[in-house]
Amino acid sequence: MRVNCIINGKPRCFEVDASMKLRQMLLLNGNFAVRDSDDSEGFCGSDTVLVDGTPVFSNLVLAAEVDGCEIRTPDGLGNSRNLTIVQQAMIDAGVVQSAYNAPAAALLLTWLLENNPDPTKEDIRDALSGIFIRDAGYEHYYLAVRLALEKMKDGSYKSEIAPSFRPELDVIGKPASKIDGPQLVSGERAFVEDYVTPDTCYMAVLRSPHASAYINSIDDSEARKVEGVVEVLTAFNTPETHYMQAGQGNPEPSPHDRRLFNLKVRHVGDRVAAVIAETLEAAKEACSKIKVDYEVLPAVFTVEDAMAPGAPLVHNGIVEYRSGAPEDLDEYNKLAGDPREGKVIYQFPLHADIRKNIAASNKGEIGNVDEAFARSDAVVEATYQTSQIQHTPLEPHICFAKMEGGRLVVYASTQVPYHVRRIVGWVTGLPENRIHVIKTRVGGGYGSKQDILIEDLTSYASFVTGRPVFCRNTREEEFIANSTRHPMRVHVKMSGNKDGRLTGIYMEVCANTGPYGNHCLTVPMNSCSKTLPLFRCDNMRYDLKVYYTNTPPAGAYQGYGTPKGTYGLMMAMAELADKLGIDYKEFVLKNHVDEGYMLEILKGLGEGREGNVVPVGSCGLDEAIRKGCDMIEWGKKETCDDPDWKIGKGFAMIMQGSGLPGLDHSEAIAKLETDGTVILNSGGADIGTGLDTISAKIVAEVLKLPMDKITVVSGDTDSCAFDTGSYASSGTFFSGNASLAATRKLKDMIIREAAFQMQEDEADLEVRYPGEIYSQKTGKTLSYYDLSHTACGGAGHGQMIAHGTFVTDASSVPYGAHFAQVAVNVRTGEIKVQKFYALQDAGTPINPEVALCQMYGAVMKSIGHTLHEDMILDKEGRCVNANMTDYGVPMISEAPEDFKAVLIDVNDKFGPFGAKSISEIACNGAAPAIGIAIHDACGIWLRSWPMTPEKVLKELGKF
Amino acid sequence: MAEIRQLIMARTAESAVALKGRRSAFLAGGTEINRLGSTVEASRLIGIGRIDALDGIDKITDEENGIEYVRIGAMSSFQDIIESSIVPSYLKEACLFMGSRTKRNMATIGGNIALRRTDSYLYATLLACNAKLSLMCRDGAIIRRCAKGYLEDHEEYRDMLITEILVPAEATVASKRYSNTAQSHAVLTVSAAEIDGVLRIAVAAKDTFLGLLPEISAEFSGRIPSDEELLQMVASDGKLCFRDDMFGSSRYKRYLLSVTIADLAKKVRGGR
Repeated sequence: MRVNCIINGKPRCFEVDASMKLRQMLLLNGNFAVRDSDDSEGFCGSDTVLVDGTPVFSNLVLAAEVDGCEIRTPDGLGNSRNLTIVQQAMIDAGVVQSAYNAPAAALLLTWLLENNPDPTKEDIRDALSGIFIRDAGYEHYYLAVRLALEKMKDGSYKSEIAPSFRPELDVIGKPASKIDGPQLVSGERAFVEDYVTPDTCYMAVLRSPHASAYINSIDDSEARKVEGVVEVLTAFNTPETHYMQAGQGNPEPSPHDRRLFNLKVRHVGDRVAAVIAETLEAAKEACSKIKVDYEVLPAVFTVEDAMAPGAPLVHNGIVEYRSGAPEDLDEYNKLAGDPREGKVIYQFPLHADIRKNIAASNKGEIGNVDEAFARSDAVVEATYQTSQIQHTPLEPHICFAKMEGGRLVVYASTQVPYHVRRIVGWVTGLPENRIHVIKTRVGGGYGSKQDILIEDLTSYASFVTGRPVFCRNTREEEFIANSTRHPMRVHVKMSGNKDGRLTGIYMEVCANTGPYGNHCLTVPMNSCSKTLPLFRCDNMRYDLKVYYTNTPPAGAYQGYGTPKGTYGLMMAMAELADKLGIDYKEFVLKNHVDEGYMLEILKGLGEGREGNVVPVGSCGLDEAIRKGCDMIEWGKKETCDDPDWKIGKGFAMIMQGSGLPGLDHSEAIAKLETDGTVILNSGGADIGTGLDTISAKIVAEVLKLPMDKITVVSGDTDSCAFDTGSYASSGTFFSGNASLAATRKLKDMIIREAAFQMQEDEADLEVRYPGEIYSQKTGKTLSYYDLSHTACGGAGHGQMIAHGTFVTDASSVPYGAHFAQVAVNVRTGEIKVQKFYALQDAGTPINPEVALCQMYGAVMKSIGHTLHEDMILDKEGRCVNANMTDYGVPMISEAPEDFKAVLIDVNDKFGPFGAKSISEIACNGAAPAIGIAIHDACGIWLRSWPMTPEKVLKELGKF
Repeated sequence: MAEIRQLIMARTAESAVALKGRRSAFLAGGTEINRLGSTVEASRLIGIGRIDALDGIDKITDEENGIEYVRIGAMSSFQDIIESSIVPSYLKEACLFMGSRTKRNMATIGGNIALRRTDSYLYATLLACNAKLSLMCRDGAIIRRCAKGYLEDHEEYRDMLITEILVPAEATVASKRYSNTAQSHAVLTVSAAEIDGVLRIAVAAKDTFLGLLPEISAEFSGRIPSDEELLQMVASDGKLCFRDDMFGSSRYKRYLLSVTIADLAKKVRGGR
């Protein structure tokens, strides 16, 4: 069929078949910014275009339907050098973060303002109701519209974008455009899929239909006959190397308990085979022709199943230790089962017992908890259950690998490029010098791209075939074959006295790590290590066990274990306040830590090693609690005209970390180019959070150089130096400090060289905006341009290049308090979050507008986890809602009507320019704040996620 | 997703109907047929988006009973209906149950009716208000059926094309939809209307039932049953075989339906 249409003002003609979607046709036309986040589900809106002036999902339109139509795509707006007012306003408002569908959002806002020059908040909400924003939330989209309108009407912005911090600094702590914003918002080449070459092969993965089964045999003969098939990979023709996929430190505590393909599948969706073919269709067809003979085994899906005596074992093979093997290991290994079980290799002991499905465990205590319970006026004890949650990044897991000059080049959407390189090295046997990982822009990570879930297999496929190979998870695969948030059962016992003093805390954490042990120790440890140090309490004990099960795998997720621990502890604290007859606010204020309090509890809470006992550093916790209570009018009872709706308020104090002191490591290289501009090579991985902008601002601040004279190259393992990556809230603190160290060294070099060239004393020289050296003694100046030009001339000292490294034992902990006001319908069980106030101490927020958006985005995620999101498995272990619509992510319709993020101004001693982390902590508060508010509204304690209307009604005894 | 081998863009309703065969389907807004996991199975699609006769919204008076109706072309999108100045608010409210504006720009009222989904956004409301449908037969003749008749005798109408929908311009109708999020499939959509003094209660219960509840409606004659009585009626209504599933337990669904019926009935009768 012939389609004549106009695309972005230009006439175009296509030959299409009946089934071709409009998006496919647009891709043929080069409009690659029309993206796909949901495999044609009509949900996420990444595929939004305008057809004859109306926004539609291009994946739900057949190409033949647009014959004679006029089509506008996101890339038809401005380009990065000539942005439209709307695109620029989005960047300035801070909403362009991971930005996979930011171009689509820009198109929608452009359409809105073209058709409604004076939109209300409701109009904006309506326009954005078809687009899923996971990273930045929706609040600053309202601001973006306001800014755009101001610019259109008055030529400049009138509204404040975000508060500014540190008046003595030029760019740090001030809103400024994110440096990758123009590229991202305009839909230019940025993501892995944009770099795929025409000769690329596609990979499809055959996945297990069983939760647990041995593979007896695989017959791939018919699959290999499919035209275009290049290779079929299975457990029978791939290495027996055991490894793990967690990208965190080295050695990382997670057990090496998997191969590329195992002879035992351990969850529905586990890898069975992979087909590499010249087209995706051929790869899929070949997958369907692979015959697998399974020996189906019984499975376990919950920690209760897994811990039951005689429970089926998820791993029952040989156990090895790289260090610290127990003396009875040989005896233990005599109990190993079928050889197809494979091995579990521990890097060091994790107090595991795979014959009881225990992947790891730990416990510790300060003071005497039992004695405290016995002597206290009141004790509460309750169990809190959290569910399995998927990250749902807009860009699914994706990888493109190719062999080039005998080296493996891997384009990865990853938070940890250097760990990708290391793990790809393990599975291919290549040394690191022969692997080049290029981290592209990342269309959403949230922890899931901290794990090497797709890069291992894609890279191996390219390595063995010699062909470029591309692999992109389907949305269903994102649910069933990725990492997820560990479901946890947190049992809390807490005691206090009527004078308002907390006397004892015990928490038992049982975590479900699924079939493999990615982050199996560290996530549950985090449930304790990032929660117990909030409390001024002398008697605390924790006991955690992590179980293998046959559910979809668990791993890192923004907040790590902290949201679950915070939920249990803060709910228990509210229950205890209730029992003691004390106002919860006063109880919290009396028992939280503040600066200088010695955190003895940290002694046993290292990540697989002894922890550092340190005093609390900079801490805005008290201010956050008091300010938030004022904002939400704590103590004032709200009512509704409809007697079925009851209103309540709640809050929770929260903390996180800023990277892992003693474990994380960052490096940067700062180069003064020959024209006086600077290129900073940062090992840090900007995953949309503005880390590159932070590095650029640090350079600008130290060297007094305009931002447009600074370029940051990051996450490229060839050109940059090592960095452990973006996880555990490490970006600003670790990578930022490495950038600062490199830049300060470069400044020293500049001063030294200038002293030589100017024949002055170094002590008399200073750097000055816009990039020059000034002599306070003689008044002479020398531009960076002239300085570098001379240095790189035949008689100079050469290019000025500085290398900065950052490691530390210091902890910079962000604190905060999150507040919710909810309305609960006691007749129908419906829950509405009317107000949500997030107050956080981020030290010096280097990019304040970006920081605020990350708070909004993280809170939206945690509201989703609290009220809506849940991976539901049937009795066979199949996820029955492995799609966006049924899974239940919150969108703009679910956002609180009154939603505020507030930055508490605290200057930190160790962070770059006083900065601490910002984003991850914002995942921690919603569940307890909402849970406590629900209790305040209608008197029930909801002790499991998600807090659904059905659970409300059950607790109220309605049925 | 349907395996589409042929797409024909019809220019007239008559030609569209003439093309309809067993393995073919009418392509309206495309939000279902082109969707991942679509339930529509057809190898040939007949595009009806270019047929002018299926557009438009106006008012007419039924010559038989003198009732004023709003006539809505079957290809009117949900958003067209919301933006119309003459469509009654109860139907606009139902259209707004579709949370995504972009999808509302695409989805059509005719397409939504033809799908007869148990999580339908509109069908409960259309049943409650006693909407009429105009259907074009293979010979080009137009017949008119009520929404209830179209639902119950669908096999008879499956090759006919819905050309327009008539809803009472003045009616007291109240609807309520329950879903996890605004974008999620509904577990329950309930609608109640008072038509000629008679209460009509309709329900779209996910994977369970789509239709009117005449027996329960009849219990409202001259009185309002208690919540307990309604729960008993819902539990004993053979059409409402709720199951435990990812949308909730059967007990939850029965309870929710019963209180919602009570609330909507009160609402349309001017109570609470």
